[in-house]
Amino acid sequence: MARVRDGDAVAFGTVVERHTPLIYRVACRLLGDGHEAEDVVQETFTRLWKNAPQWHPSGGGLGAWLRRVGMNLCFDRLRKSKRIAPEEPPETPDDEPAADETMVSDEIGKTVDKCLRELPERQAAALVLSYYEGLSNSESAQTMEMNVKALESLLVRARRKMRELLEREGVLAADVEHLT
Amino acid sequence: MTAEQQPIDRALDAALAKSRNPAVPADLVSRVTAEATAQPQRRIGGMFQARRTRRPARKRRARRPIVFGTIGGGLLAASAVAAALVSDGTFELARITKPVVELFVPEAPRETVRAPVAPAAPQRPATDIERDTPMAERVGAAQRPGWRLRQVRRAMIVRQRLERLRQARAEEAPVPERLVPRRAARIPEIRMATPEQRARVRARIESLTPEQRQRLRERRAATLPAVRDRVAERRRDHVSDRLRDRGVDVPVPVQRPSTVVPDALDRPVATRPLPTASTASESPAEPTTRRSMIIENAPPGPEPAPVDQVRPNLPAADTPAATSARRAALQQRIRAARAAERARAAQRRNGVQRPARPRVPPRRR
Repeated sequence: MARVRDGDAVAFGTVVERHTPLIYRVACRLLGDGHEAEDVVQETFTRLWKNAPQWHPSGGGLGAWLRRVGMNLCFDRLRKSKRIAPEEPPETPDDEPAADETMVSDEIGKTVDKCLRELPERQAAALVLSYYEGLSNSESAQTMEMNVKALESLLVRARRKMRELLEREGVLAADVEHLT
Repeated sequence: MTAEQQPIDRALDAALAKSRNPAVPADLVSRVTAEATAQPQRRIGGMFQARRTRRPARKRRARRPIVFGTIGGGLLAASAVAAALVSDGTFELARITKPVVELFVPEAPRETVRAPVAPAAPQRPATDIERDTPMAERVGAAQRPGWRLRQVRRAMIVRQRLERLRQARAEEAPVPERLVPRRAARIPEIRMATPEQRARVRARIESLTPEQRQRLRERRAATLPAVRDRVAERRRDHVSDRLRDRGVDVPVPVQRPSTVVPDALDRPVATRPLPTASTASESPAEPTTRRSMIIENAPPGPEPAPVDQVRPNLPAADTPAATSARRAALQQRIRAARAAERARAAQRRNGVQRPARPRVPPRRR
């Protein structure tokens, strides 16, 4: 980071390569759109490059800072898009031919993605960080600027809400258990 | 906040696992790097960098370094010193800098050290010499040769000398003449009163009796309502007396209500009731005699005539009963209007269903 602060583009490339996948995945799950997620990644690293001379290591380090910036950008976009978003998010096209089981599995996956985007933004973020990205509770809490206990409560609420949404969409526990 | 125990929900975990991981585009890293590094980095240069407070999500208050405060304070102090020293309107740089410089010069003022006394000069009295000698010299002469004034004391003495000089200069300066004479000096011109005119006025005033003077004074300066009424009444009496003296029948004046309502019922009055304003205006040719104010040695007259309690000068609509009836009607009208307004408001409330207030869910973290 010291080299990035001095304007070293190579060092910056290394930082981007290391942190881009996580930020992209989080953004993609929260926003449900790959292009939007790319924009978020771009904006996050542009901010890092611009503010590198004033950047000071704190708390969770550079990773947490980048996750935090990326998540804030996602929240901003979600709030903007909610005003003009249609009721039903568009289905992502899937042209691949698949067997019945794979089709059902994909169908459940799409429903899960849809329900994830219907969750409150902080609950969705907690779920994505701790479940999909495998961050520890303390790392997730640091990223979301809250204490660990609050994050655990948030996760419980998120899972409960997620289950309700899945049942509403017709994905029953029996279906999932049948697949597994 | 207590963390809830996370229930084991295998079905939910399995469902969540069905969501596929989004694949990162292959050229995303290079694109991001290229686009970001194409932009300039934000570097805050210069001497006085603003420093952000370390409080996140609060007001972005920037702390300026103390240098600004020091510079500002110095400028303030310098301007105060300058204003104090150039208060007589002249600006001399030496006058400002000299006391400051002397604060840091350990030696005594040069003229004090030398203090030459010409032996050939005519000797003046010792008191004069002492009075004209500055305080620094007096103190210095007493304590020489190991004489050192404290720096603050010396600055004070210099300031006193400057003050004395300023006062002396102000006293010696010629007083400018007034371009416009004072108004008090121009009052005779304004009034165009010559001495002869003033003498004539004075003679007229002196020829008046004290009573007349008092009357004149009251006429001019009567401002209180009671005084005004008294003056008007006296003038009216005077006119009617003059008319009676000339043998003219005095017409009944338009009397005020207070003069009509008897204040002493045991006073003998005429049998005929006093004319009211309406009767006076109807029959002006029928004068009545003026009531005598002297009641001594008066024979027991008839019983006082019953006087109508209605104020005669007021129209019939202004009687107390009519007034109270009018007030009651007005109050009733106001009450009715308010009741109607309340009824209309209730009808509006009941007739139109107001939209339900949108429920704002409590913010969950």
